[in-house]
Amino acid sequence: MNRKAFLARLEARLADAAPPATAHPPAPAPDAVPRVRFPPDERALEVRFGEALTAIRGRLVPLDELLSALAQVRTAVVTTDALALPDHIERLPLDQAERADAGVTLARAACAATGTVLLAPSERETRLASLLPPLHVVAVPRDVLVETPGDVLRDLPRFFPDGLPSAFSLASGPSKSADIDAVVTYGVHGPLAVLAVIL
Amino acid sequence: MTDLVREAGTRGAPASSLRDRERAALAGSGHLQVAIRRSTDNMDGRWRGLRESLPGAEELREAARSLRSAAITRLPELLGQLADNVEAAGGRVFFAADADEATGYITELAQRRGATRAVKAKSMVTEEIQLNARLAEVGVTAVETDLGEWAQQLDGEPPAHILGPALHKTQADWVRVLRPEGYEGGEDPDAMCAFARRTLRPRFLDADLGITGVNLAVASTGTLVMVTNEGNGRLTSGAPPVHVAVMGMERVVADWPEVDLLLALLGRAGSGVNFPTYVNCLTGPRRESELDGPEELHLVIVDNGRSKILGSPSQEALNCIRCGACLNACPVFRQIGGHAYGDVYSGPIGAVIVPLLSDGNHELSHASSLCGACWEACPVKIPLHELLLEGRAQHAGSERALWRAWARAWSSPRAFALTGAPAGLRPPQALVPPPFREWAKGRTLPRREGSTFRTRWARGEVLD
Ligand code: SF4
Repeated sequence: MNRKAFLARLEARLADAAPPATAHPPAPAPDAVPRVRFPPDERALEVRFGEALTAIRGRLVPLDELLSALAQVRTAVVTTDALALPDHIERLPLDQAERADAGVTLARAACAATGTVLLAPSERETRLASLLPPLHVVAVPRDVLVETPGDVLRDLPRFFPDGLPSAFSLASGPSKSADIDAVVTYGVHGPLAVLAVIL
Repeated sequence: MTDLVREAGTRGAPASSLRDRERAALAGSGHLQVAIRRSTDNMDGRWRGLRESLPGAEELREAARSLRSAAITRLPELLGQLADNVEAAGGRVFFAADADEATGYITELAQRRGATRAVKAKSMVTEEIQLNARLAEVGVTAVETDLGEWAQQLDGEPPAHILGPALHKTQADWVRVLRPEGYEGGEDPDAMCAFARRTLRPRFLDADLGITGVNLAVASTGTLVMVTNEGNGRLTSGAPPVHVAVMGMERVVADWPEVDLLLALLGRAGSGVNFPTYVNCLTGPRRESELDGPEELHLVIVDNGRSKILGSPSQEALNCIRCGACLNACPVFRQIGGHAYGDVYSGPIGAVIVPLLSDGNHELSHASSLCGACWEACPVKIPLHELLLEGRAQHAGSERALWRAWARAWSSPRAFALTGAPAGLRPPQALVPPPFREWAKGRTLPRREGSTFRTRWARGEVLD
């Protein structure tokens, strides 16, 4: 069906709408969409980000502990210069993310209430660097910390001044599933572990 | 697995009756009920807890209801805007009136690309249009990549729940299903999860087509928003050279603030988390300056009966964000599970929309006790219990006259007297209209204690 006919059918249905089968029809839509608030918390954004990330099985690592945290990592795809990686880690070409132990990428934003990071491809960053390797290491510049995912979703031009990229993701902790007998398992498709470093 | 279960998930009037499928579900080891109750209890309980901890939850839900309703009444305008913006970002848009048009477009695309391998990320609408079967006819093998849905596919069973496709499977079932794929371990969820990762990873990387659903589509920017907890949505849309996104036409929202609100509700009601693990937002295919991503992005917007709901008294059913909370809360679903509904959509929302979408399976509106638990659980406050009643009224059709007569008989004292009830006799089953004879079996009118109200009134006993 072409677009015109498809939409015309909908117009016709709406023009001839029956009254709703409810005793309490919805109120008119509010002028502004109400914000999703979280219980108030006075602590610093980075403290709360770390706590929220830990709650979803990620980890916030102080910069001076990065070396020991990455001791097991042999290979990595790296899309950012923001983190100085230990020398023992071999840097693989970006199209080899599938072979790498870790993907090291930059967060465009990070949400304190939920431990969420904003990831997006660029001239340097692939979509798959943060997704294929078993470990995702994400560098979070202090000045991109915000309160909630709504602060990102309602303010996209701040994070993407040149327009939206073809893909961006809000990622909260490692890949998880509860499909096997309601037991939570990690890493079925994406990273098994997420490690964030605030810069 | 019984044949009754196997035929669930095919659209149109199933050969077996709702009652037969209920019986099949209730027979057996009882594990089905135990597993479903445990999973649904768990999800329902988490959503209740989160509702309490979310400041202003009630107002947010009311606002979501109003905003979804407003978007649905603007559907032609918003879909037009969405299509314009997807195309401006380099994507292609196809409007499909029904399942045949949608699958026809996708199979043609697959043939043009010479595709043989597809990966899919959980999408109810592709189940609804039976896309996998159509793809198989043109030589394309489609692999479901959501862990639960993969197990269901390997087992030849449709998904049992919107968000927990395999929630009825025991760990022993999982071992049985994975064994032929090469799994050698035991009943160990971590080991099975790792096996799935190893087995499915090459499928993503080798696929010619990635096919996903769409949770929300943002008209203002032409962005498709897709939510997964496993990350298979990101892989399916990001790894193969062609991405096909299939959406029910009602998924559109005007702008991003609605996305904020609806994702907060979807994550809490559907998965019991403050925010879904992965929210993937796609605006067109890969740009020239980007290093990876699909060369082509196709958006297929599907009607397939939805326009029959639009403008009907049940229009609000189109507000559904497919979170599954009403399934978890429903005492009937918790007893019989998803397969007994005989369609891809189950639970209260399934019982409302399936008869409307398919012009069949009307008996589903009776798969409810009208207790209202679904309405209470629904994050966008769809009055599901009222819509179920509406479904029953529509279904009554020719039987309506019969019911009216029955109701009249019971409200007229003389006719009531004729039934024998006032004399303490019970009306015979034959007096119950046919649709409810089955229901009336095993239910008898209570025996009256003492004399009737009328007799006592006449004797002056009532007001003394
Ligand atoms: S009807 Fe409401 S509760 Fe049920 S799946 Fe849809 S949004 Fe969720």
